[in-house]
Amino acid sequence: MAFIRALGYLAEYIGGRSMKIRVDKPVKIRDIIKLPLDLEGRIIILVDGQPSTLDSLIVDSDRIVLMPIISGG
Amino acid sequence: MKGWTGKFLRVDVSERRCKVENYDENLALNFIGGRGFAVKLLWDELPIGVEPFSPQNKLIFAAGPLTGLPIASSGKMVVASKSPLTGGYGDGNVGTMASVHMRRAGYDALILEGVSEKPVYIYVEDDKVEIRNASDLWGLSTFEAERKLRENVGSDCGILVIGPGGENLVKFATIISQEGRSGGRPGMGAVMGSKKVKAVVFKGTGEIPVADMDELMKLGRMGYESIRKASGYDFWIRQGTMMTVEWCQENSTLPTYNFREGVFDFAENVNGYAMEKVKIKRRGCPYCNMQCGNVIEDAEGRSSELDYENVTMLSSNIGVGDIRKVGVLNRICDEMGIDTISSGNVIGFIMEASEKGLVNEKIEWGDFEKAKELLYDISYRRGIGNLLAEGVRKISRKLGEGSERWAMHVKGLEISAYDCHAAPGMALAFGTSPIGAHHKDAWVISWEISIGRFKYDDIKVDKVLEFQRIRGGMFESLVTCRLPWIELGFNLDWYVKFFKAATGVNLSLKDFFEVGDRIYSLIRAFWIREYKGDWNREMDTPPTRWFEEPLTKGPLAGKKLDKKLWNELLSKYYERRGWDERGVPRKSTLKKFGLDFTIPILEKYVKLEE
Repeated sequence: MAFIRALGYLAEYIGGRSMKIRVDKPVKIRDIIKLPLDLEGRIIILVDGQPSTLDSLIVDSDRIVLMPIISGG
Repeated sequence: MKGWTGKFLRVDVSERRCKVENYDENLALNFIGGRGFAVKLLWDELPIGVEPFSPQNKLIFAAGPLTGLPIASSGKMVVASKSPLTGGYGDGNVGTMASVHMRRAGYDALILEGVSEKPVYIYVEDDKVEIRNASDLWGLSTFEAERKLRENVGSDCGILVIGPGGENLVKFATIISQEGRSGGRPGMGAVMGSKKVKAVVFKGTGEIPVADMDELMKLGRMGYESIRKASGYDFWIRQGTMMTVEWCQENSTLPTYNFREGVFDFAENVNGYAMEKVKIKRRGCPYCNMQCGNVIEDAEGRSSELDYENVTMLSSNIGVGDIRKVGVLNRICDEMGIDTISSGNVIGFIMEASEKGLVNEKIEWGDFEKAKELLYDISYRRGIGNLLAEGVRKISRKLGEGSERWAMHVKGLEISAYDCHAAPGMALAFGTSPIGAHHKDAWVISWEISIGRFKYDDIKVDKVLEFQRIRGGMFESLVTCRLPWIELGFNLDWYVKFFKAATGVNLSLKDFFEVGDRIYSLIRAFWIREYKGDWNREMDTPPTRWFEEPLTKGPLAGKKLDKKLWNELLSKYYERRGWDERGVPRKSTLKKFGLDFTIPILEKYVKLEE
């Protein structure tokens, strides 16, 4: 299972703050998580801690973190 | 001029004299407003090496050409002075109706000078300016004083007030407005207290001059609509900056136990979701449609306005894991008029000092009652609070025993709420922030994580500079809030259009960035002048802890900064700024930005490189 964690408002796009998903073959993140166009360029994606993009391929056992780019308090 | 009112109000409380001054158009074009006006006034008018609490120091309240206009998040002003905490340039940004009323009254800045014999407050109603007796206000909390003033002057005005912290010259006392809006971390409230000025009231009934009001109104409406429609808006309204607690915990950047760690075992109890459970309302700055002040009912049943910085510094950094208790600590800081960030920092420091046996007092991590007591002790300078009121740099010098290595400040200003053991770019941003360690100018940590946090690449230097130009330069001089830009993707081109409609002047983003660079070099010149040339790159270097003591908890356990590589980043930063290896602006840089007037002064203290 791939584990997906979504921070801030991105949680609303995966239906919760985290989810698990079975990934039978490598798949692009954008194919499993649908985000509005205006968010592209406003988010950070880490796969197992490595900077990634919506076009990065993920496999079962990956830990994906989606988080907004924010500017602090 | 349009956009600018073209006028400063000068009030001397020693001589009880008020004067309206027209300023030169070139000042507006070269420095725009806000922080730009403030540093230029301080450079020109302060005697070199002035003692921050002397009558000769000045407190500047400065707006910019967009302040108070009906456009996104424009209800802000800069408060600035020579800082009693750092000894250098200090400023802060506060969202308040006072900014709107000051501009409507016809002024772009108030210059406050002298020292009054007795407590006073300044009342400004358009061209009527009075220095009024404030004996009955002195000693009151900021909330009580503002309420009492409103009983006298009415509600249709803007009020800036200090609390006991400012009256008692706590070095990190701030200026408060609207029971929760706070500005001026480097002791601007203490400077106001030293002048015996309890409050400033602005009531403006005029129109702010605007070059093309139809266009400005149209742009303003479109801008608000764009913000409202952005993805993430609804969540922002729910949590505001409080979502950053979760973000920092995930990224091991949540300051914990005096910045020893980047994760907190009780983060879930103090994050945005925990806040939502006790939230009672939302409030914030004028002309903002994404107000970020989350008001909760605190553990004592009172209202407390929270955001990320104050929550984190008063929770994870001192070990308190209960949002409602954190609300109490935050509200006490606001009532007393002391900075939440520095308060959390000095309390964290003294808890660690107690743990290490450097002080006799037993002050344990997470001791909420003791933390509460300390906030009052600081504000009234009682017992150990008298030492804590001096800020962490001075406390560590007093305690010695190597405590300077974990005194979490840069240039004397306590670090705000981001741990940088594994964020060299953010550490560079803290190091080179023009007021000391503060996140306002360049919060690069998001980008840093998106491109590879452990790298020491040139791109990080470029990003710090870019952010300093945008945030520290453009937003701080216009003066508007930076949050719509990053948080909701509000494009910077909006500000070019707003500026054109307000002033009739065409400036590109590149032009604004040049103004930002000019302001930065002048601020740096001011520091060097006030330090009489006793200046080197250590002044821009974050605390030893981040270089020598690795994180021990969380997924990044073992990580720390590499001093040699970080120093290379700093050198590259200096090179791109046109400063030498000491961090001193080169002559060519000063000339390039029209700051030739600083050269003969600086040459009295340092040898300037060409």
